[in-house]
Amino acid sequence: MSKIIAAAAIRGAHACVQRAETTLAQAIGRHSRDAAIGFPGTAYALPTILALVGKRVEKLGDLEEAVQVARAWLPSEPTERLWLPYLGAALDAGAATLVAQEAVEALKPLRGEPLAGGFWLGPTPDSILREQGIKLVDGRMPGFAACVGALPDDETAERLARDLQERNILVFMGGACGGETMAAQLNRRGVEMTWETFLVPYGPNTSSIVHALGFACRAAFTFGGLRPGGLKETREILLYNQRRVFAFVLALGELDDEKFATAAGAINFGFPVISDTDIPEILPSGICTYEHVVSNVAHRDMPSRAVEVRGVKIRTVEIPIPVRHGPAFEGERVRREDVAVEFGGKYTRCFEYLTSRPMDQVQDGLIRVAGPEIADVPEGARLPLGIFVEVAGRKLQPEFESILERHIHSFLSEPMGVMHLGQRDTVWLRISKKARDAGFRIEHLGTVLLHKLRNDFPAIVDKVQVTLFTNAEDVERLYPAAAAAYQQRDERMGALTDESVDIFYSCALCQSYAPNHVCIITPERLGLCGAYNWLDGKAAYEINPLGGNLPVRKGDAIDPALGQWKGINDFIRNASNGVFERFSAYSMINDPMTSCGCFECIACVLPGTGGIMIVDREYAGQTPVGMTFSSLAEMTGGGQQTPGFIGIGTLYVLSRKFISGDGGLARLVWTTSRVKQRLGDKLRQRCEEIGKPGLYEKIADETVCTELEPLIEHLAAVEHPALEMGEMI
Amino acid sequence: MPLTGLQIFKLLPNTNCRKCGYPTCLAFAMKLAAGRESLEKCPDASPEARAALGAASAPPIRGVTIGRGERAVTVGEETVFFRHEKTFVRRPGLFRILDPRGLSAAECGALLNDWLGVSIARAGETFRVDGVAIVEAPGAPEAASAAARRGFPVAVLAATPEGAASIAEPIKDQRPLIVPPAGAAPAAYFALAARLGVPLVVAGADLAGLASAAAAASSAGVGDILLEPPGADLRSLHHSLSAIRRGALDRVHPGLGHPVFLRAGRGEFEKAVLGITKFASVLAIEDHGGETWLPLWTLRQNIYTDPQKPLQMEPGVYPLGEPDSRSPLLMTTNFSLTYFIVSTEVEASGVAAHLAVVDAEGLSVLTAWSAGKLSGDRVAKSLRQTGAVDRVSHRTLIIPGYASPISGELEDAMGDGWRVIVGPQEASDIAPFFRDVWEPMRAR
Amino acid sequence: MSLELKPKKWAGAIRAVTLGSGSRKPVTVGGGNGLPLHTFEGVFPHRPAFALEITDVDPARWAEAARGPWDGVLGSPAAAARRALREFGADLVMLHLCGTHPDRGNRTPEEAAADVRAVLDAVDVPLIVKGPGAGPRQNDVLARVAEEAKGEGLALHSACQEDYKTLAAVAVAYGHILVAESPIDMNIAKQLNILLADASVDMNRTLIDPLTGGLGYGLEYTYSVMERIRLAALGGDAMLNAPMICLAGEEAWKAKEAKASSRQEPRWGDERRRGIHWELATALALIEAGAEVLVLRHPETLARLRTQLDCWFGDPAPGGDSCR
Repeated sequence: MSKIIAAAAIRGAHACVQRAETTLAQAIGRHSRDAAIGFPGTAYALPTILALVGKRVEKLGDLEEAVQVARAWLPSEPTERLWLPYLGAALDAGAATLVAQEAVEALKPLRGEPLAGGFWLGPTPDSILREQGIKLVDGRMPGFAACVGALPDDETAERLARDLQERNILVFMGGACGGETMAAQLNRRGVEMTWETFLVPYGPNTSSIVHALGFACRAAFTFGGLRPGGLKETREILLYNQRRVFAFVLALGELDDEKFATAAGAINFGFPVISDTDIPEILPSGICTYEHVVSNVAHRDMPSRAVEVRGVKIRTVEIPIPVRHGPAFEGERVRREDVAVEFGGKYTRCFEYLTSRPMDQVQDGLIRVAGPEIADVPEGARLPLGIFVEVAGRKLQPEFESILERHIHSFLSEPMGVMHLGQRDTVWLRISKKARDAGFRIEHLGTVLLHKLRNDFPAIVDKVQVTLFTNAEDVERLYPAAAAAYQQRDERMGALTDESVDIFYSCALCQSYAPNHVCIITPERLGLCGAYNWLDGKAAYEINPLGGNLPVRKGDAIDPALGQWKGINDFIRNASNGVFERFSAYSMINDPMTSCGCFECIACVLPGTGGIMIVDREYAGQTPVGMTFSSLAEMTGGGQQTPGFIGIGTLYVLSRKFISGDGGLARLVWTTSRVKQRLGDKLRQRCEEIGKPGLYEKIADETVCTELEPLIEHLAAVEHPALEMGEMI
Repeated sequence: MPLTGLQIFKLLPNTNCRKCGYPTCLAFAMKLAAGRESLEKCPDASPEARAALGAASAPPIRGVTIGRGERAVTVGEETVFFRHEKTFVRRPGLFRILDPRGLSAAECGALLNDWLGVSIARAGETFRVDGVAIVEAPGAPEAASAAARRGFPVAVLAATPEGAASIAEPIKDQRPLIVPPAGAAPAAYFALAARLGVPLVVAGADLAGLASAAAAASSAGVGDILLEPPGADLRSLHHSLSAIRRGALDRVHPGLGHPVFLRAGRGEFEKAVLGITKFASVLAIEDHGGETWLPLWTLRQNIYTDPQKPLQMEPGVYPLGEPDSRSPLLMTTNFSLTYFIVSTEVEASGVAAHLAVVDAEGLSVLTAWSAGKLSGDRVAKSLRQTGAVDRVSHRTLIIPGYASPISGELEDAMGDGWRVIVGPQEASDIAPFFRDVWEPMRAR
Repeated sequence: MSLELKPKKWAGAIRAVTLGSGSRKPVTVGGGNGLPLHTFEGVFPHRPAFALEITDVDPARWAEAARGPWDGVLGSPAAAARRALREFGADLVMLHLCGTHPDRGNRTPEEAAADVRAVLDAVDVPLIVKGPGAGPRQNDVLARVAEEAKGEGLALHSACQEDYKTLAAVAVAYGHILVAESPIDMNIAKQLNILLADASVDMNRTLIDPLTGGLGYGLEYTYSVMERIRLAALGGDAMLNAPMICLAGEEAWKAKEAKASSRQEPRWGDERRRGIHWELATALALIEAGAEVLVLRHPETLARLRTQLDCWFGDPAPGGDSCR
């Protein structure tokens, strides 16, 4: 923490507590210690003091004790020679300040100073808190801004208020700067300030902003079910606010010591401070989710910067495009004769490329069309198109780029009158005349992407900017970068090995069918449904940490050949409700993984051949083991461990780790022609990699035989390597 | 720990001789492991194998067949306590009790003919009266023969061993089930069932008595046994039923490894419900009315559906209300639950409609689409085959919201000026959809 | 050979959840440590509770046979509640605010709150309040109702995975029980409870509604999902061990088979008894699968279930486990 800020905050805290003590002493002098004290319409006494001190203040005497506690928290000011640590001391000072400020506010009525009056609304009663607080907790209201001070002019004040209102952010105002207050500025502009307009002026003194924190404390009591008490309870209340109440402080104008002290108080709640003046910044991250103090922010940028720093997620309810949209229009075709403009297909270059950028290099919401718009070209024109999406997010990892990019298809299929087919550089996109006549422009493709990416991936996407290139020159200039990225992503996925990571992902999405089943997805063994790979699991976890995909630390290797790790086994024991003790990632004989029922294929041992067979779901005929797919499925599925039988995703066959603990790909003696065709050249290539170039041709399929004996003859005739490997069981 | 299929396989001769009826020893071993086959079917199994397999060499609950021919009822061979563990395999036989007292032979015959005619189709199954339980009384032998002649499996609700013999003996080739009266001395019934070679119900005052009675019946030469559980009320009956099934699966006593027989007297609907859910295999039900039987049949259908193989509707066009050629035509998949939900909502909307059910291997709309079972071509073909396209003149098809991705290709595949409209994702929104989308569209 | 059947013991138990507080006579359900109804080997401190469903407006879609017993009080929730209690012997009442649905009466949150107040004044049993179905309207209605009935320990029906935050906050703020509804899916049931716990909802104040499929209409799915939820709970899963509530009446009476007249379907037997049997079979099967709160429509169904369960949970007769 900056020494300058810490020093100012501590100085401010001392002054505040001093003022509270003086005011309190006067009040006690004039009234008795038994004189009642409190804010109107609340059952939480002085809520900030209740939360921080754990004491219900109802009389002057109670307040005296509370202020004494605050006095005890006051650290001494850092000296020239003392450098560290400031943070703890400043936070304590901040907490003491809030107690002192609430004391001062509570004493006002006794001194004949009303808390509300004119446009000042004073502290919030519980009834409004419950009504508005629910919105804060259930996400309808993304957060609140506590604005301290004033803007340089009335117009700027109004613009800031409107910007916050547009984002549904509740605005609290308190304190002055140079004799000016934000509320007075808004009042002069004729802005209505009530709970209905989300603009709530508390009072002209800095101390009045403590009501915003009292509001936060009461939210924790009311909606978090938290109770006041000792240090532990206070900590929980602060953590509740840090995790759920997306509030921040906007420091407007020059800061004095009291404001620094108040800011330090807010940081205790995890509320960062965004300032328009040049004060030292306090960057990541200890109490707040990200930065603590960000300074020198232009007024225009304050809302977006605050939203970003606090991690506020704002959902768009209605995507602003002139046509209807939604999954119902996903499969809609735009026919040749209805086309207003089209991109790609076999006519022009059309690709989509999504990339991640650092936070400060993406301007959220920026959508540009570089090149002709829909109105600039004749009906039915064919244009090239480069859909270039740049995203940034605090938790966004480059690995997620491909996952987000894959969603472009469904996003752009949703507007009525837009047809989107293909992905990457095979995109074919049409916009219908009807959509154009309704006002849909190329730009709106960006609008859809912007809002869908932010809405559907709030955990990883904070900012989106979209550029739609529609002139050949730009499209061709960008294309090599896109093509390189596609290739690099494929290679990166290919290079990901089980050894190179410490964490696998579980998938329990199928436990509804198969009670004790859990998939363990490794980089080299995708889920048995074929639909989920390791990266998907990783992204799913980031997007929803409470979902069906959890990270599982491998832990110490128990048997690297079979693919058994301590961490995995511990997880399995727990996740299978104690039914299974051990899982092997690379064996179908020893502690094989369970199978739910969604497997693309079943692999099964074939005694007498030294090998295995693989049959896919679509294959209805007989197999050499003497069971059809459906009777095999009955044996294999349902979340049982069935040695000799596993469900697999087809692509697992190509993995280096394909039953590597049992001898690997060389064991494969029979499969269906559909599997052989699907894997095709890649399977041939794998056969070469394991030093058995002729293996592909030696693997029998149903056109060779569907019974065991002819299969054994066939294997002998072609000299299949499995025959030499010995029986698996 | 029960032996795995591979462990059992290692005990088998591995000759793939097919004498057991399976193409390979491994396939047979897997069935043994699942408790669905008996080692007796392997003539070459070594004594070591028999010893090692021990109890696992036979299914935990024996199969029993009552009756002969198309209507014969086979029960038992269950392997699990909870249906989700695998599935319950043998639907219990629901027998209707026929008391011939006061009925002429002609009246009996008419009643039996009426019962024979019961045939209610529901979600791929036909509900029938599975068998007839004849009460011992004057006229019972004739009634039993009449029932057997009509193909009904027969149970004999005996009062005396002699009476039971007079009813069962003439139809012994039809494998009637003999049910002694409560508290009867068992020896004479053992002898009768053994002599006739027919299945017999045994009872006991408690579980131990029941198990030893079953063991005694076995020793007396009775081949096929059903157990009548003790229990005067639902609680004690539930206890017996649960204990018998658990005891059989855990193989605590060979006497428990038989299917269960239960009587539900007049008004004992709750007892029949408990019996169907909790492991009874043959129920003799005194009430005859559809208000008793329809819910019981349906309950049995629900409980005995394989949890991994959803109930399926027959693909076709189902009229809801009395639709004509201007009524809406909707499409959905043949997952029975999907069909039921959609049809219920359409009926509740008050709009008569045609509902075309398309074969999607019994999957729901979303799952079917995800699994690629709901392509435009496939749907169009099915709509043509089932004649759905000829039911309406407006050439407009409403598809479920979750099938929207195929709307374009479906329209292409339908051709002939057909229009595909995407309906709501949830069936509960069908009524508003008719009101807000369909009606205005038709008005235009 | 002797016969030894060891009673099955489990690591976990179902949570005991108390409905009703404040001016209500509380009803506690759950607390059992064995498979449902396995009274021969587990301890069950509380027996399943029966609620009857009443509505804020005349429920036009109810089958004739289900309407009969409520003649004269349909759409008069206070009178219906009194009848449910005094004449029909319900343990609880579920007020279904179906009339607040925008398409079915569009009653306001204020009117809903007045209805709830009227029922609270009319009877002293705990109240389950069911909204018009997930969405903004339900949140508005139940939030207002929750405020009106602050501290009365209502069971608010229901929060779902897509929309739980408002009701979670409301339940905590006003001291109510929250029903967590999942679409016949054990994973979602668990997931939702994790989310609710994360949203500060006390797990001792939630019920699971696994979504009932009525007889012939998905009962098989509900039945098995409930058995599995119960097994997980007994295995010690703290996110699945809440008692389960089933709206058996609503689902059973939706069925064509429960509603059709004897004239339409002569083979289906007597219309009135068929409907009751349909509801009875649904409810009894659900109790066997683990339901602890049953919401029914026909009082005769309730009476018949009551007879059976009174016997089931009553003291055994001497010398055996028969209760007579």
